[in-house]
Amino acid sequence: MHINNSLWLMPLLPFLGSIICGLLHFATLRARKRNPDIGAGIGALAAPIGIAAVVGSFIVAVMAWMQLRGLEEAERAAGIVSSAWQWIDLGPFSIDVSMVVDPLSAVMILVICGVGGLIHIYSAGYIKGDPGFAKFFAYLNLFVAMMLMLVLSSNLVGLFVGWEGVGLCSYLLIGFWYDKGWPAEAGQKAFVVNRIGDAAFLIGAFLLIRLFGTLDIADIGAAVVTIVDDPAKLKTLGAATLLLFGGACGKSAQFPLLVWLPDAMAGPTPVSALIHAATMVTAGVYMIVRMNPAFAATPDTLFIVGCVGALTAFIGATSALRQTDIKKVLAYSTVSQLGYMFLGLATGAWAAAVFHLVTHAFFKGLLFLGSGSVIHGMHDEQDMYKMGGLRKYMPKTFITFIAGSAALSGLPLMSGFFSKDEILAHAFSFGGSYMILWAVGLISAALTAFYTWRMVALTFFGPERFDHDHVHPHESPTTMTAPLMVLAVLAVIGGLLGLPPVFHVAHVLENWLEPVTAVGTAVTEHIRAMGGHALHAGHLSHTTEWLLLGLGSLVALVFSHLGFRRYLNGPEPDLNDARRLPGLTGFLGNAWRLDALYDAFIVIPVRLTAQLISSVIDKVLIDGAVNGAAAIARLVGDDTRSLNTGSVRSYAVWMGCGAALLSLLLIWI
Amino acid sequence: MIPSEHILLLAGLLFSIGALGFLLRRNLIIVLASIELMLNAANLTFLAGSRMHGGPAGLNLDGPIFALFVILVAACEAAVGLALVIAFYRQKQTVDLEAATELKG
Repeated sequence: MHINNSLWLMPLLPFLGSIICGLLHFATLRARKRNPDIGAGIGALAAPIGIAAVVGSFIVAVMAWMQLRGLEEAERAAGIVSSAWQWIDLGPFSIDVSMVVDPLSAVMILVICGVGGLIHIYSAGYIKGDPGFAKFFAYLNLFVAMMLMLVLSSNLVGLFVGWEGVGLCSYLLIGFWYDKGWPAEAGQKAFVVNRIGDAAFLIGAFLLIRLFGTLDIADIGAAVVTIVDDPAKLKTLGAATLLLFGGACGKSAQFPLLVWLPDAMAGPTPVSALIHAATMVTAGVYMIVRMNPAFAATPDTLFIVGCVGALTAFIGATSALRQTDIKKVLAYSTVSQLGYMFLGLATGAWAAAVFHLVTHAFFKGLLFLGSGSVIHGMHDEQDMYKMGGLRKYMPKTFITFIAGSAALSGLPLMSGFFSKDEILAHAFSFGGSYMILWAVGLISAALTAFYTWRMVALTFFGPERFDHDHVHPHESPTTMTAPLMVLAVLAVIGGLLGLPPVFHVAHVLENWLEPVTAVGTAVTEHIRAMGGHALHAGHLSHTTEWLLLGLGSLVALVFSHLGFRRYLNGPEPDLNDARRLPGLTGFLGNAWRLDALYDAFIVIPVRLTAQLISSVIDKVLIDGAVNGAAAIARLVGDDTRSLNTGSVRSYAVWMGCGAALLSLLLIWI
Repeated sequence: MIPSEHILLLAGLLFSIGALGFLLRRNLIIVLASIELMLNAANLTFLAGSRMHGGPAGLNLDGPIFALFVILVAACEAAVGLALVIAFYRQKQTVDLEAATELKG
């Protein structure tokens, strides 16, 4: 069966689901006025519809993947294409609405629909009883539809539509509990910060049009080789890729635009898992891998990507050390892990970045859902200082959470271990200034292990610090624990997708993505052949690789142990640190005071300017002009009203005089 | 043949009578009749112009055609004007123009 014409079902199903759930929400609102029970009953229908829509997309995604697997390698590079119609036609420049499933988007759609489906199932349990139950599924389905648009589109315009769409859904879902006040503000913050990146993305896309006259991703990839001989054009391409990376910085919460992601935790936890860990925030990584030929041609941009990635990994990891909110730990951890992905991209290790993206979707999705289960069982308590000893109350959550933590901290043989080590090995193999990035990455890995097990110890071990009279921890329902278990298995075995070369087993993901990454590799080869400034090529001997793997394992094990032991008896070490080093702990706890910096240098100046404009320009100049015009009109009216006698004949006289005057003018001139 | 200048003179005379009637009389119906007079003065001017600027065959149809249009418009104007007069009379029980000063500023 040919899947070409069915590709549309993938975004269409969740989109329809979203519309139906939205209508159900309105039906709920109407029914609730008369009878709350009927209202809730109508709303509950949204869960099966929403889940079915995503599962349907998943089935189509699997079929597309199967068909893609059956193709020859050369055909696979082009992918399965489905063009719907021409959207914009400006002579030589045209944009089609078309979708493509190639190896890269196949990986993405499987992750989005797979993890997304699990999170939908989980949400049915988590969000149960909320007055906005149907609305939640409407937003969630819309998000999946937009995310699929993003990854399936064969040109940057379609990608941007999805890019903005997921941003919208993110905003809506962060502010889902808008009546509490601060979630609405967090949503606005996310939207505004993302807008900065989006502006950069757009300018980058315009530069690409200027360079290549097209926004079709495959065409751009093919055209890059033709301009690498021209230094001026290469410079423009460098600017374009840097601007595209700016867009990725916004969406994927990289320094300096990372401030919105921790605040985004104001949304419901499944949202944090789906949007702010597994899928949307990785859109930036996906976009760069998609554009890999352009980035491969501009190694300087890639170096900046690497520096930003390593710095972000470090900022995220250090900030996570001092968080007390379990979701905030995971949020900073996500920031940090995204930094790793960008570090991987910086070395041209496209497959390694995608590998970490996939394993991260598994284990971070799992950890977020696990934290949601904890929060659910603790009656909406998110402060880890008020938890402790939860392992006997919620054993399923506990075991799956351990699996996720092991993967995140990079304990040997877990999925996170392989993907993180692959990225670090690539950075190491480049040598030179990349060595510093590798070192920062390794330190961040140590910190990751530390804060991960601090979180585990504070949550599940140690004395029970909650109020037994009011809080009765309990295990979550099966709808929530079942997705946890599936994700736990994936988080543990996900590493099989990309075993390191020393194991003498094929790197499944790298081979699979080869048709996509080959274009970028060809560009690098071409530049190197003509003696240009090409991306390094790193090579590691097996001994070095073994050493790096050993070092990674050692660091992970030692720091996991340290973090776990230190907090086994409760948060006292934290409080002691805060007493001894109030400056440093405050600095880390507030994420390097980036928010304060933004306040001081952007938010407050902007507000002051706005006030100035409102009080001086608006009130004095604009209002003055408007009121002045009105006053003049009134004055003139008062003085000339006597002309308006109401007598038709006097008007006729005026008219006659006017006509006579005009005639005279005509004669004289 | 009557010289065109005489026709123009007659037209000017008719127009002046119409204009004076329009400005000086207070009876609405007379005012309307004065307007008709002015319009027909204009028609005469068109015809005179057509005669003066005739082509090689001594004919120029622009003037007569325009005059036909003016007659058409004049008919419409008369219909609407008389309807207004009737409506006005129903309101005021008079056709005196001086009674219509509601729009005095």
